[in-house]
Amino acid sequence: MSDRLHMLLIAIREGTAPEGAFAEARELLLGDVRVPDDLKEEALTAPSEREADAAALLAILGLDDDLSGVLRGAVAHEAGEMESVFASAPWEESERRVLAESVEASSGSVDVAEHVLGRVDREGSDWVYGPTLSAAVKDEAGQSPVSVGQILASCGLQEELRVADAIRDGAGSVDVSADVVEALSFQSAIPVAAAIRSECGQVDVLDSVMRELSPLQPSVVELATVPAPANRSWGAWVSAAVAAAVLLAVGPNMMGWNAGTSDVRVDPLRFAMAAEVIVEDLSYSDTVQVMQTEGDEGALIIWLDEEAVL
Amino acid sequence: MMWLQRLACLLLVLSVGAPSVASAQESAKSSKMASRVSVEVMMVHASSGDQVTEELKPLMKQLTFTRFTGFEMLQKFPAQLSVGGSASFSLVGERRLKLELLSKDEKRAKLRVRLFNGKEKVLDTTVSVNRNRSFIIGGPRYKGGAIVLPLTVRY
Repeated sequence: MSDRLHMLLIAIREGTAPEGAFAEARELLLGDVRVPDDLKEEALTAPSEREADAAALLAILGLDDDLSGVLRGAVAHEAGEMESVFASAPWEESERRVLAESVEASSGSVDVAEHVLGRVDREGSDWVYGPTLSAAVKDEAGQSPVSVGQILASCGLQEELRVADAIRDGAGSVDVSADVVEALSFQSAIPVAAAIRSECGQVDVLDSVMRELSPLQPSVVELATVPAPANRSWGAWVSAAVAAAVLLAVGPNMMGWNAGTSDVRVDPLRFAMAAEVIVEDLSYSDTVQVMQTEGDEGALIIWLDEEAVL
Repeated sequence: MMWLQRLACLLLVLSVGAPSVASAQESAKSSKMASRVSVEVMMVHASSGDQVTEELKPLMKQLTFTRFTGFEMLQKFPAQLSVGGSASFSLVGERRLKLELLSKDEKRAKLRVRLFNGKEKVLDTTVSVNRNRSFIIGGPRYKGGAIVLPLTVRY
């Protein structure tokens, strides 16, 4: 169909066509093969039905104005990807509201709408992609509200993803003990001793301590003050001294006090030094190891080690 | 104090006639004992405890290499040995000690020492030691510690 017929039909339908337009439109209509013959004979003949005939012909010929979908597809095909630039944004306020509501609905308890919108305002002052993107989203989503939870669920992700969990996951394990201890050391002393005592419980170290101290302790305890003698009976002391002298002169044997006891006086151990003892022969069984050694003060020691063989 | 003065006088009187009797007894005993040697064996339990018999304090200084800290006197075995004579002592368990005096002179004595565990002779040694001196045989296990045998030869 020629553009001329199209324009004439629209003008007729709108009632704005000049008088000569009807004849011209009818002539073009008769030559159009798409129009059935019976319509060619009757269309645009009755003056009272010319507007209705024009509308019907436009619909039959596929030139109806109510073809927004086809037109939008054609426009999008011609426009390519996001190449439209709008100098003005008459629908800016409504789109801002839609975006804010969507962000609020998707953010859960976290209020980010103001920050998002503030950032959008700064970076997209001319609102370049906003309307186009919003329209595209609306076309795809229809009237169903789409939340972040639904999007994550559709992607197979956890629906209840929270910002705090995400931060913890991203942070991993952070060792802050050194910083904490350092901070505490400036504030108060850590009660290490008390903690050790608490863990140890009751430990009796008295024996060990006394054993360590025993060489240092004097064997004789000196009194701080010597008590005064109770009397001064010089005669008795002289007599006792004479008796003691007699006893020493006579000796215990005279009194028979040693009768029946060993004649050998019990002396403390006096260990033979190296020059005073000789091991002339030494043999031992296969079940022991024997070593000949000297003590710390030179005493001869013959030591059997039974564990060495076992 | 009169009783003390009377006692002194009595002792003085007794001492006048006593020396002759005492010296006679002494010489008789000396002649008997002249050929004999007194051997004393102490059986000591050395352990990681902290009990030390007072008489054994010198042992601690000699046995530090064993790291024992406790020395308890279990028993003493005195013996009078003539040359050629022997004595046997039962120690802990089936352990037994046998001493034999092989010889002696004015300066030293020669002693054979044998230690048995049951029927097994685990040690056989001959030691020549100066008179009035001691030496040590030790090591047999006993109650987580060891048996130590200081031997002293006196004459």
